Amino acid sequence: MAGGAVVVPRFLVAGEIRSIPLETLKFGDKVPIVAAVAEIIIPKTDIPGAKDLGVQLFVLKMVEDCYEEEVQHTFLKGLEQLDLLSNQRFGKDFIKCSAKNQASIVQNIEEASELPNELLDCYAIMKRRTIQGYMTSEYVLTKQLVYEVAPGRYNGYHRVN
Amino acid sequence: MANLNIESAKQRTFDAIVIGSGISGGWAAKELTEGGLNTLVLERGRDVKHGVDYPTASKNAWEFEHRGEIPLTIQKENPILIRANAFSEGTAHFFVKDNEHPYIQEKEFDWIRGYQVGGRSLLWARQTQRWSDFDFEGPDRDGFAVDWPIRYKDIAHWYSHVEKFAGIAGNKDGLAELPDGEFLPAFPLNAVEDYFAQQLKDKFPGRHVISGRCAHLSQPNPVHYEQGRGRCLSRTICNRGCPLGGYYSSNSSTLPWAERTGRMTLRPFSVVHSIIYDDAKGKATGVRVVDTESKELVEFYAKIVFVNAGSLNTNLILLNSVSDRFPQGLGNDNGLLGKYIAFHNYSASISAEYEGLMEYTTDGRRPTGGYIPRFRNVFKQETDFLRGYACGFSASRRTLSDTDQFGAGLKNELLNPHLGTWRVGSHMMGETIPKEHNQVALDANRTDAWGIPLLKIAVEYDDNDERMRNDYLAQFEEMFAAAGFINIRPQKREMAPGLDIHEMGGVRMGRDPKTSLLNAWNQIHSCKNVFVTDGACMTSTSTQNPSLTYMAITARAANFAVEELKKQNL
Repeated sequence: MAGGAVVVPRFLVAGEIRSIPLETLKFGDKVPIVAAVAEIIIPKTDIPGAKDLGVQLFVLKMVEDCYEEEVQHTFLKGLEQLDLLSNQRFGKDFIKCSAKNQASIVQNIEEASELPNELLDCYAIMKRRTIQGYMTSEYVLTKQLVYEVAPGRYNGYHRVN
Repeated sequence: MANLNIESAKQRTFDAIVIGSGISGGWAAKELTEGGLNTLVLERGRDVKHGVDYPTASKNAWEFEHRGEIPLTIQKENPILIRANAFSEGTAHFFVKDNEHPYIQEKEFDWIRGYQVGGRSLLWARQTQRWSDFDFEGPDRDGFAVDWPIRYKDIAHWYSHVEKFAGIAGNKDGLAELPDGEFLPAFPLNAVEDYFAQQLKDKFPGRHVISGRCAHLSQPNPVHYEQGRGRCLSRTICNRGCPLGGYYSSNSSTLPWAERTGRMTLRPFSVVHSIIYDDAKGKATGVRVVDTESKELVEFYAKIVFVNAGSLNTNLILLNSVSDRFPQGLGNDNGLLGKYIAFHNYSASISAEYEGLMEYTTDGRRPTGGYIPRFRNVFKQETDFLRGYACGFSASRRTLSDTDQFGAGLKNELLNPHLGTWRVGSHMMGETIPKEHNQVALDANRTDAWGIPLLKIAVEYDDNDERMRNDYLAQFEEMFAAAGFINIRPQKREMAPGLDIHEMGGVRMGRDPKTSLLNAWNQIHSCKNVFVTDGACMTSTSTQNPSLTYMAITARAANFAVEELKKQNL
């Protein structure tokens, strides 16, 4: 990991854009691989994907702060197994694979065909937290599924089209 | 030096002292200052200024590092508090952490507290249903506790008084068991809630679904604007504090009102050690306070004292107020102080789905839901358990996405969710029977950070509670099935007493000094210038969320106190 690298995770502290040094993340060196997986789970299309919104930082923040140490170990072990799998299938680490090959690996995991439990558990956490981070990002809540902060109304008979 | 002391004592002398600034203390402060009394309001925690000290009130979802989740280290440090639903990243600063004020659980009890100006009035569920005589007459009719010394007619006027000022949204439903009040327009029920209401009307006469009456300004009146409050905009993140003053709290309403009289002195960081009783004068003369910043013991003096420290802390203060006359605690001639603690039974809920009325959904939000007043044993005893339960009842449709995929397909699903079927849910709010062995007492050895004995709590459920929740689940399975709901899922929740955050009693009102601590005006029988008007005064619990009744009882007692002072009776 590049020492002193700084990312600007707007999703963490929107409003005031505060810089969080990567070093403050205990598992900061896992940012690239988690970002790659997150981007396969929710890719960039004509609108931003998970990586554009920095969701990988949210995923790692949650793993660090909201899970037991043993789950954190499982998570890290799972990431190692992801690289093992990727090397078995394509002869390189996950982040070095093409997006197509990365998607093929994730497809493997989704189908859960005889893979180590740590990898499956790790992926489940990444997927759940990627979806959560993406759906509660400033971008999605202000540009896509606009959240009304103060609706000031309640209609109990709203017609469905 | 002597002169200095006299001067200092003068500065520490007031007409009235109110211990606590929560939902009932705020009302005592308002009524006493309006009655012309210079009033000292003591709060053990820090100050929380309305609007100013709500740091999370306007934060967006993405501005919370953990999206509201409490990090694991904080969870582990707070095994009790973490069970409280409202405890989240957005509200954590309003809750007492487990290590901040320990207590002794002789039986498992989750004591959930908010030590700050406004207390738990910042955190309450804001449901405000009146009691009726079916509630006040309960102990007498069913032979438990003691007879309430008041009836509905004694308090009806005071319900109106506090409702008009606090602002209560609701319908006039015309139910004898849940009297109507002074209402702002109600928040509406939705299609399925109305449907269920009609189903009950047709198939289960006597059971009603109404819009839960709540302390929200659906349409403010001039008196609310005068308080600096505005219309509730259904943000529904109330427990972070509402900068609009859309819901009632001491901070947004009674305390600033009292302050404007120029007669209130608010003193945060003041833990009350005990009430000072003067044997010669035969009455209380003030309170001893530990200043939590300077650690000094300071005395304050007044003609009357209102104890509104929050039910169990009120018990603690009175138990710790020992004198030659009252060696067992202030007013405790009969040994019943701290006994007959009760609470509300929330230990069951039920959910289901409904596939009808799919042409409708809901739009916008509301700060309340449906409410089903108690229908068991109301007019006569009809089951194998005493008393009954009120219920929440709400319906909504969730938006769903198929997440069993990944990539552009998943993204498309997430950003274009579809509406699911209607989901309905209900929870019970059961009356529990006050019993002598459900009690609190002071520990003989251990003290807290301020040198005050720790409270020992021994409160538990009983067989009546178990029979009641079985009945609740059975009745709702039947009613849900009759309404055509499917996938009905009854659920028991094993939760300790206290987590309902409706702990009551220990200093109960009654007619007879031999069997109660307080009279019909909330005066301690044997020390009439001390009034207890928070949850500690409750003789029984009924099923309604209790805050509105505390407010009405407090306003009534405070106005009585002002009159009695004028007549020089205190």
